[in-house]
Amino acid sequence: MGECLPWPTCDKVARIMSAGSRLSTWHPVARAADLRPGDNIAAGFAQGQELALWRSADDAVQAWENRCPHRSVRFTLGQVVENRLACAYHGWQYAAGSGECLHIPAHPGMPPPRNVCAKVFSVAEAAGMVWVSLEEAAPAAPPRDDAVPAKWSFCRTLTVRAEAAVVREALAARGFTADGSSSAVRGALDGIDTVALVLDARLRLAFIHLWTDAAPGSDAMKALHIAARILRSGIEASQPAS
Amino acid sequence: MPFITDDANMLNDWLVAGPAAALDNTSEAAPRTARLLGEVLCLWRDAAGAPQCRLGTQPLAVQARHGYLWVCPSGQPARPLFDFPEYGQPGRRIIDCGGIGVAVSGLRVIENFLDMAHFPFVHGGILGQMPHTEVAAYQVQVDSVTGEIWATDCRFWQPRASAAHGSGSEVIYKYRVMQPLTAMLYKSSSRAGELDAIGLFLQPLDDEHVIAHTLLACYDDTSTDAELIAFQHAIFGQDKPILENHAFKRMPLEGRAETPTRGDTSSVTYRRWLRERGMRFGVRQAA
Repeated sequence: MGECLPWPTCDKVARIMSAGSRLSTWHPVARAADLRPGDNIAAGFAQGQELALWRSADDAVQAWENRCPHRSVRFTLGQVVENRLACAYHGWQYAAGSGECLHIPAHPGMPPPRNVCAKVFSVAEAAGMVWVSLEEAAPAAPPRDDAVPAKWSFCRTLTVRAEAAVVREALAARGFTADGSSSAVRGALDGIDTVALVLDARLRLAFIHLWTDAAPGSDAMKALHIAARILRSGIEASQPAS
Repeated sequence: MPFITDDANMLNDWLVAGPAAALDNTSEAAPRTARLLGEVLCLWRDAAGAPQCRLGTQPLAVQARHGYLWVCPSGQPARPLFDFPEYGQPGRRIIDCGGIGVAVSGLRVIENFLDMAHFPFVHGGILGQMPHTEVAAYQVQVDSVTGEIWATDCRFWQPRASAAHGSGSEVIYKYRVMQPLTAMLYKSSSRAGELDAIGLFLQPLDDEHVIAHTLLACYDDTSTDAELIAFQHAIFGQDKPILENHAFKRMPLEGRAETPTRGDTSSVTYRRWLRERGMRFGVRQAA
C-alpha cells in the first residue's frame, strides 16, 4: 500500500485502449460546478486520455487534449484568458470551441498558422456533471439530465485504484442497480440513498462521482463520506497487487 | 553491454558524471557513486590525483575537465570533449551551481535552454516581461569544423537579466550546443565588451531523467557566490515544473506531433541536428 501507481504516458494508454474498443459513450469527467467561467483549468481523464477541462468566460464548457500542440506541455499549467486558453510555456492562446491558435506572443504581428490547433473533444453538461465523448462524432443522444435526481447533492468524487469494470461489479454486489437508460447506478451506502457515476479514468484507475439525497452538512452526508472511504478500501483490497 | 541504451551518440561520447570536486577525499576503497545510463558508477581519485572510474569490475574511461568528471561508456569516444576557453580566463568567476534532477528527456532540457520565447511567461519579471514578448530573427549555424550548433545575434528585452543587472535592458545572447546533452549560453555581462558564459551539462540517468549541472564563468564584482547560485536556482526552479509536464517526456524528432513557429529556429536546428546523427536516446518513437 502507499506505493505509486506507474503513470503510463497517455499515448501508451491510448494505444492500449484502442486495442479494445472505445465505447461510443459519454464519460462523466467532472462536476459541472467545479469549472468556473473564465477561471480554473481542471485535469481530467477518460479511458486513458488526459484532458484539460475549463469553461470560457461566456460559460461554454471545454474538454481538450491536455497538451499544447507547440511543445506538448500540459494545458492544465496554463490559464484561462477570457474565451481563450493560454499555454504556460510560451503564452500561445487557443480559442474556446474550435481550439484554433489565435495568438503567438513571440510573433505578435504574424497571424498564427491555420494548422496550429488544440485537440478538442465533444462535451456536454447534464445532471450537474460535465460529460465528454472521445469519438470523432459524439453520440447521437446527449447525456441524460435525469442521471441524477433533481435537487440531490454532490457528495464527492472517489478515486479508486481499480478498473472501472471492477468498480461497477463491486457496486452491483452492494445492491446498486442501473435504471437501464443512463450510465448511473443507484443504491444505498450505509443506508443512504446514493447515485454513483463510474468513470473509466485510465488503466487501473476509476473515479466514482457520488450524489445523494442527503443534505449538505447533514449527519447522513457525513456518514456517506465515511461509507465512501470504506467502499474504496474494500474495492482496492480485493485487487491483486500490481 | 551494460547501460540502458545502445545509442552510439551516448556510448561513444563524453558524458558528465558530476563535479570534479566530488572526488576530494575519495579512494578506490571509498569511492563516490554516480548514476549514468541506468548504471551506478564508482569514481575516485588515485594517489597520483588522476580520476578513475569503474562499473562493477570494469574500468571506464574518465577525465576531469572544465570542473566536471566526464565518462565515456564505451571507452571509444567519437570526438574529444568540447573546448571551453572561458573556463580558464583570468577575471572570470567559476561557480558550480550544483546538480538538479529533472524528470524529462535531457533533449527537452537543452531545447528549453536555447529558447527565449518562454522568458516573459516562465521567468516573468526576471528574464522577460510583458508586453516585451517578441523574438526578433537570429542566426543559427552548424560549425563545419566542430559540428557544434551556434545561435547568434539573439536579443531579448529583460527587466533583470542576472544577479548583477539591476534594471531593464535589451540583452544580447549567443547559444552553443556542443553535444546532444551539453550547451552554453553567452550573454551581456557587467564588464563592457565581455560576455558571461553559463554551461548546462546534463548527466543522463535514463531516457526520461537527467541531473542538470550548471556552471557559471562570469564577471561579477559585487554578488556573493550564494547570490549567483540562488539566481540560477530561481530560474531553474521556474523551468522545472514546465519541463516535467511535457505530455511526452521524450522529444519527437519526426512527424507532426509538435508544431514549431518562426522564432523556434534554434529548436528546429537542434532537432534536425539530432535526427541527422540518428539520435534515439531520449527520443519519442514516431506513432
